[in-house]
Amino acid sequence: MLQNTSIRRKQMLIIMLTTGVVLVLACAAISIFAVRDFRKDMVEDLSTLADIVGDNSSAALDFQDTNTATETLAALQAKPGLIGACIYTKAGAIFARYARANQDPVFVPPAIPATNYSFAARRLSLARPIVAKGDTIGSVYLVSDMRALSSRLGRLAGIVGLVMLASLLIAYALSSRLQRLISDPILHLAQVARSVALEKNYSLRARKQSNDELGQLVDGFNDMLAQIQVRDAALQTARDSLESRVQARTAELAAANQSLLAEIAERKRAEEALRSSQQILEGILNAIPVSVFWKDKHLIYLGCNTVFARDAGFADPKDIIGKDDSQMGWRDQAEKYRADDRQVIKSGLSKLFMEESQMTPQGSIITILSSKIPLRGSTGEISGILGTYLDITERKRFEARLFQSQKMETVGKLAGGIAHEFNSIMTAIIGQSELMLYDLPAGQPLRKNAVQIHQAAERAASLTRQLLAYGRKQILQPDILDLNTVLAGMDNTLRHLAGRDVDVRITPSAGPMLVKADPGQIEQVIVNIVMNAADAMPRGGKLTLETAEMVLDQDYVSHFPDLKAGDYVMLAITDTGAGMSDAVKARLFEPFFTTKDVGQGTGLGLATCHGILKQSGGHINVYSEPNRGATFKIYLPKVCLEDKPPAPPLQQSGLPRGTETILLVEDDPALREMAAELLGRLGYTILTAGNGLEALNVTHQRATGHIDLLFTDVVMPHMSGKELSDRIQTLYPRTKVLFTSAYTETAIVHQGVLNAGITLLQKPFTPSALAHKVREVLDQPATP
Amino acid sequence: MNKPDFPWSNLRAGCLLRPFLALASLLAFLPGADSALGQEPSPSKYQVEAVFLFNFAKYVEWPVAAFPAANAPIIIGVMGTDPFGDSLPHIIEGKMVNGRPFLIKHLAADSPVGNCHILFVSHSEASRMSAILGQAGALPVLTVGEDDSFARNGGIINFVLKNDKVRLEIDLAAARKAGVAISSKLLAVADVVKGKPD
Repeated sequence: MLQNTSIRRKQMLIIMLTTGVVLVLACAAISIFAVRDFRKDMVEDLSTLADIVGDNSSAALDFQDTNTATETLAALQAKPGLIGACIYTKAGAIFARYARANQDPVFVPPAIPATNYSFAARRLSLARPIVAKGDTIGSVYLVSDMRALSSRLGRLAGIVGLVMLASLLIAYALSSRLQRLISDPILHLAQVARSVALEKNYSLRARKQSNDELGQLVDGFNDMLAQIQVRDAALQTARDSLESRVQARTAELAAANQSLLAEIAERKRAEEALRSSQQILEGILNAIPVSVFWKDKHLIYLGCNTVFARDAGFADPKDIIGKDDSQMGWRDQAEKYRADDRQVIKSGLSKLFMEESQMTPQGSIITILSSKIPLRGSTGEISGILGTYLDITERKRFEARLFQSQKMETVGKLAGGIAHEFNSIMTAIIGQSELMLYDLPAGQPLRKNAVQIHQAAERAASLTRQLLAYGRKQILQPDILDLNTVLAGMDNTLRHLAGRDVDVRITPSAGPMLVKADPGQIEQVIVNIVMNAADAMPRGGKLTLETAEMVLDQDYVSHFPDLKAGDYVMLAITDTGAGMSDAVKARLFEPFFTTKDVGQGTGLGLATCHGILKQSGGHINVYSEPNRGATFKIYLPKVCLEDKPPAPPLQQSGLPRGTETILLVEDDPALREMAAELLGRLGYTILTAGNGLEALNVTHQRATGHIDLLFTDVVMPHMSGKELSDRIQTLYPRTKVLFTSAYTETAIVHQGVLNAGITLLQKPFTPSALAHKVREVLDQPATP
Repeated sequence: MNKPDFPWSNLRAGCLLRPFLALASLLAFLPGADSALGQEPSPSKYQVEAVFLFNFAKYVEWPVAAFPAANAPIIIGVMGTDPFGDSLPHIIEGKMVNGRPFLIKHLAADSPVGNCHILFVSHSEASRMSAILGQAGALPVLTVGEDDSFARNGGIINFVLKNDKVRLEIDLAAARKAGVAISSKLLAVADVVKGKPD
């Protein structure tokens, strides 16, 4: 507990404790000596008294005067504290005695006087010899109480107590002042040390107050502070430099860190890019329809894509890793493949885009496009092989079809081109021959020739028309029509065409089978097929025509170029004839392909059908086997419009006449003259022009008079029929326009065969068709 | 006589010494030992007087001229019939007062008394008391007597019996005349009388 008290208090405690102990010891010693002195004094006093008594009693004793002795003793009454006295003779007998009254116990002199003195029972008893002139004559015995001693001791105690108290007070007062000589410098030092510790201010100094050890302590402390200050400064300098070094180093580290981070980010980006490119690669690998695999140089599979795994009979590409071809789906042909692989590895030469026929595990023959390239390690040596292959069986098939169709297209174009030119010629021949027939009266020998010419020309025109149809260069005038109605209208014709031995059955489906097509063309298609069917059944048979609604799905249409998926109306024409071989079927729709004897068929019938249907957005297909008959299926896009009724058939009558003025523009002079002559004969006023510019000139030169009808070819040099008609109509708004053309792929088709108010006369046309058409247009109500 | 002195007998350790004390006590009672224990039979008158004669020497001072030398003996003269027998020599034997031994002289009636210091005049000399005392009267001699005539004739100290005890009567004038100084202590135990009328 003393450890925690202040040094000042400790010092005080030490001083006061020391002083107190010393004082107590001193006072005790003094008291002990005082008590001894008191007793000695008392003994001496009593001894002196005894001697006096003895001396005073010596004569009484010598001369045996008891009374005097007793009187002498009685005088001791005056001595307080004396309890009793007794004088003995030399022989020891009691000579005289004295006892103070009221003493307890009552003084009884002992029989034999004690020598010397003794303290007993709070009494001092003392014996002295009585000597007279050197002669011991007796003894005196005194007994005193301790009253004097007690009172003196009490006084002594009081004095000692006072002295102690005073001493302690003085010691306290002095020490509390003097201890500062020591404690003040220490406390000051402690306070300075505390300040230094608290403020960290090493410039503080303790004040030196003396030259003793404390002064040395202060000096030492100050020295220490000075050293600390110096060291502090050095430390601060070192720290500053260290700090700057640390900062520099930190900056370097930060820069390094930054670049490291950048590098990490770069690497991350690279990894990300790698991963994403791997993902892309894997995606590509698994997305492409090409089977990809790679093997090591021992022909063990290292990997493949999903397509390949499926080919090999595995679900996951990982499943093939570590296997070889003997464990694949094609294990029977494994050795063949491996030999091929070895060849590539051995030669180091890539084998690219080889078309190969292969037998699938299912046993079918497929065509694949295969590539194998050797894989090389970083040292350039061959480490394996990468193979890809693509099943191109379907493609090859499709390509074959496309080739076929392109061939037919080409032939069609050729035929169409020829037919186009031919058409105008045939129109002129027919026209002229008809005019000739009009002029030649019956019975005239030339008339028979004219009839022959006309008939031959008609046949040529028909052939030309078919060629044009096949070449799809004919002008279509599509309309909404019900296929069932068309069939019904053709009933007689078909039975006539099929012949008596053929049982014709027409089984239309319920409801209208609406399609958009040129009714004449559709009839042509049906006639052609039925005629072929009839030819296939020379000894009779059964011919069935039925309609149905069909949906052609994507899978089906993908086999045919230009065919679109959707709702279709189907017309199936089935015969029970000779049927066809695959080879025949393959070329069935080619123009000029015929199985008939020379002169019996043109080879254009089915080709024309193909062309017409293609041009109408439809499709034709055939199912047949030798001796099993054949079924031709015609597909036409279904039309849902029901508000437009089918157009009424044209009125066939005698050639209508008129007196209106017609501007005839035709670049083919033969056709122009034929038309001009025909229309002139029918009473019309005819103005002719070879092209649009001429036509405009004619119009301007004429100046007066009205042009009622513009009959113009569509395709002409310098100015199209359309442009011409526009310009004429700006001059004569009420002028009506009739176009004629053999083309389809020009402005007419694009801008509007279907445009309202435009009427087209298809080349080649007959005089009656021309006459009727002209009259029809002129009779139309005036339109803006 | 002094009992044997064993100063340590008061010690607490006295238990050890008890046998010796007992022995000492025993010795004290042995026959032939000095009658130290005060139980002796009462002394006779002359035995007391003999002791007194000796004791006077302690309380009286003689002029220096009374002794020839510093250690010259105090001479006790007995004139007349010696009533003390062996007592007196026995008493003074070996004793010294003020460095002086004692000497007893028996004097005839006509013998000079001048060289005595204490002169006991026996009752037998009552008839010639005047002469004897006259002779001695101016001399430094302490005269001691035992009857009325002595006192009347200028004797200094006279033994008288009172209540069977020997008492003293002192004539201070006679003493002054003789030139001996008598201690007040002695006077305190004696009756001072005026003996011889002047």
